[in-house]
Parts: sequence; C-alpha cells; structure tokens
Amino acid sequence: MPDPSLRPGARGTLVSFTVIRKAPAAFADEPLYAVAIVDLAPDRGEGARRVIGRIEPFDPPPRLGAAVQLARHDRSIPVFAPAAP
Amino acid sequence: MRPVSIVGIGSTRFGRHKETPLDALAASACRDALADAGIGAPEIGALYLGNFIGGVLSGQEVLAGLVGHQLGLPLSAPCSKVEGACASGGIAFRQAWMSVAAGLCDFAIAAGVEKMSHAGTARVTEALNCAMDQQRDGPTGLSFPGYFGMAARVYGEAHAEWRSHLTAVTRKNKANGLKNPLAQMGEDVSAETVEHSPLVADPLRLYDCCPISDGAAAIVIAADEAVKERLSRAGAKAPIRIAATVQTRGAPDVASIRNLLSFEATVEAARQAYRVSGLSPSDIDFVELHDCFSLTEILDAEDLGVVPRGMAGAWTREGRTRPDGDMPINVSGGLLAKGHPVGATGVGQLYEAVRQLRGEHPNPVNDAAIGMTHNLGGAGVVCTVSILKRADA
Repeated sequence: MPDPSLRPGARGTLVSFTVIRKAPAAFADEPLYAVAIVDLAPDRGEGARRVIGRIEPFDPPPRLGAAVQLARHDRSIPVFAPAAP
Repeated sequence: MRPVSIVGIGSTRFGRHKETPLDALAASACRDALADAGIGAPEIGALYLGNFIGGVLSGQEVLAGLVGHQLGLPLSAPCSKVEGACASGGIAFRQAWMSVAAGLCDFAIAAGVEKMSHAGTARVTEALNCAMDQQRDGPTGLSFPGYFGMAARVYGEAHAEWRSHLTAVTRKNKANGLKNPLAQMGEDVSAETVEHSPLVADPLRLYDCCPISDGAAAIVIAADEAVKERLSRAGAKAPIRIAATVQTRGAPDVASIRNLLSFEATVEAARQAYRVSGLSPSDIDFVELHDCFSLTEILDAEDLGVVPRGMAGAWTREGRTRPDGDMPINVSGGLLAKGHPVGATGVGQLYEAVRQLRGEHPNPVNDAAIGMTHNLGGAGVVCTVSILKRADA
C-alpha cells in the first residue's frame, strides 16, 4: 500500500542512493534500479521526515543533497525524481 | 553475577562444507571446544546456538536440540537457538555467559553455525534480507550491500580519498587471512584488482563485500570457582576472563538511522562494555570487529572508540591497524577474508580472540593481554561487544 501521507510532488533532498547490481531473488528479473534515502521537507501538517524509496533516473548519478520530488508510486514504493526548478 | 571465563574453543574452517549437515557442522565445533576444555558433555548445563537462516536456506529449525542430542548433553540442559541476524553468535555467547554468571549452571556452550554456499547469490541475498524491515525497506529491493553502498556514498562526501581507505581495509584483511588456516579467502590482492572488481551496490565492489560462507564455532564457558581445581591438572590451558559481554539494540529500518556513518547500537555497546569492565579504549590490545563490508570496518572502529572519529580510513592506509600497528584490527582476516557464516561469525571472533590471548594465534599480536570483539546484526538493529582478558592482565 502506498503511504497516503506521501502526496505526488512532495519535495525533499537526496540523502544517498545506490544502484542494486546483485538483487535479492524477488527483484532479480527487474531492470537495474536505484534505492534512495530522501529527507522530506515539512508539508501540509507532516513534519520533516526521512523515507526510503527509489530514484529515477540514476545515470548520470544524482548529487547527494539534490532537490527531489515524489514522481509516482511503484507498488508501495515511492519513486523520486529530480525536482522541477 | 559471578566471574566467568572461557575454558575451551573449537571451530571448523570457514568456507564450503557442502557435504556436512548444519547440526553435524555445529556439533563438530562443539566437540572440539569440549576436548580443548577437557570437559565432558554430561557436565554441560546449557547450550545456546546462534543461527540466522537455517530455516530459510536449509528448512531446518530446532537446531540447538539436534546439536545437544548429537553431543549427548544432559536432558536437564536447555538447548536454545538464538537469532539476531549476523549478531546471532554474539548473542548466543552472551546468553551462555548469563546462565553461568547467574549461577544456573557451572558450564555452558555457546556455538554458532551457518550454511549458505549451497544456495545461489540471489537466494542468499534474499535470505539475508530477513534481517530487514519488510514493510519499509524490503519492498524497495534494497540489499545489505545496498545499505552499505548508500553509507559508502555518504562517506565519500566526507572523505575525498574514500576509495583508497576502503581498498586499504580489504587489502589488510585479505593479507591477514592468508596467515589464518581457518580463513576462506585470504589473498595478496592488488589495489587495482580491488578497484576494478565488479560493482555490487554502487560504489561498493565485489572486493568490498565479505564472501558467502559455511562454518561453525563453539566456546565452552565456566564459572571461575568451578575451574579452580581443574587448573592444577597438567596440560590445562589458562582460562580467558570475560571482562564484559553486552548487547544493545539500534534502529530497525533505514529511515530511522539518522547518521549513516555510525551505528548507535555499537556506540552504546562499546560504552557499556567499557563501563562494565572498567577499561578504556587505550587498554584494548586488538579488536575483532564486524567488517561485513570494507566500509563497515571503518565505521565500527570509530564507533568502538579504538580509533579517533573520522580517522579509521587514514589509519588503515597508514598501516596502523595491521597486526604490528597501534590498534590491530581483524588480525584473523575478519569477515572479508576469514568468511561470514552469519550465525557462527560472533563465536568465531571470540575463538580468534582467545587464541590470540593464549599466545597461540598463527598471526600473533605482540603481547596481547586484552581483546575486544564486536558483532553487528542487520544494519545495526542489534550489536554485541565483548572484552576478554588474559588472567594475568
């Protein structure tokens, strides 16, 4: 289930990320993906908080501390993308 | 609590044990430890066995009962498997210590065992993920190399020469492993080989990761008052005192970790271990710590306080953590070279420390009197730290 408190476009900063090149068995058939940690800015009653999700695209590698925003949910996973300026 | 010592140790080689079942592997290490102690199975009052993924990878639970049966332990001896991911072995040791220190029995066995090499990398990666929060972290497809990859990227922001720090850890531990006959993969490896090995979870590469291992280790512990009379026997080895053995908890999921360059469970465990033992980092002669990845050794050394914060990478590169350095770390080869049969690792570290303190280690630290071991579970959800002392220290 997607986290209902995470609204599309929610903004934050990229804490770190990694490209998983040896995936756990359940993910072994997926195309290459990057897992990311994001610090969300306070938003509509939700305080600042840290979440885990994915980031796309990851090539070229995003800069740590870069502004990101929630692009969509993939199953229950929040997927972040570089924030629109 | 009464004073307690280690009086016997045993270990299989870490590596591949395809033909040996889990229980037989553990029992063989236990028999070696009993023989080393000169104690018979009927005297053992409790068995604690660390094992993490025997259920998932081998379909085998109630392992402690199987091992107790093979050893012929008394029916009155509780035999319990304990689980705390990669810290299962350290937890087993502390549980056995508690039984003896509290006076429930005079002799106990702490053992650990794991078999992983029969499963492929993807299955092992998935099994290890049982140590992850399956509501938040698991669904993202994160792996443990992935968590430490994210930490390594943060480390790289703080240390421009991060790659050479990580490489120095791997090269040191691989070189140490060459001198340890129990080690799975010691190697005289060049920086170029390390730094051109395949990426596993950016920026971590194959040589930054510990191998997939099978193995078992066991320790016999005894109340000091119960072994006094044994010590007069010819050939009895000097007991090694347990100055502290503590267990702490930490963040269970990635988003709850505030600082990716430190584990709060380790910091707290070290604090408690120094408090209980009355010792300080400068008293420690060597450390066997949880280097599941090259980066982890750097973070652990700083969290344990045996190297100044922010300096472990540079210290390693300068050779100060080699066996002849200021603070020898993972003289056994560590998880990176000796191997990481997860449930056995914590007990294996204690085995190495005891051999070092007895002065019988194949890769000796000069005049080692006090040693520390550190076993970390998951991404820091559980930690055990123990301090062992030579009786004359």
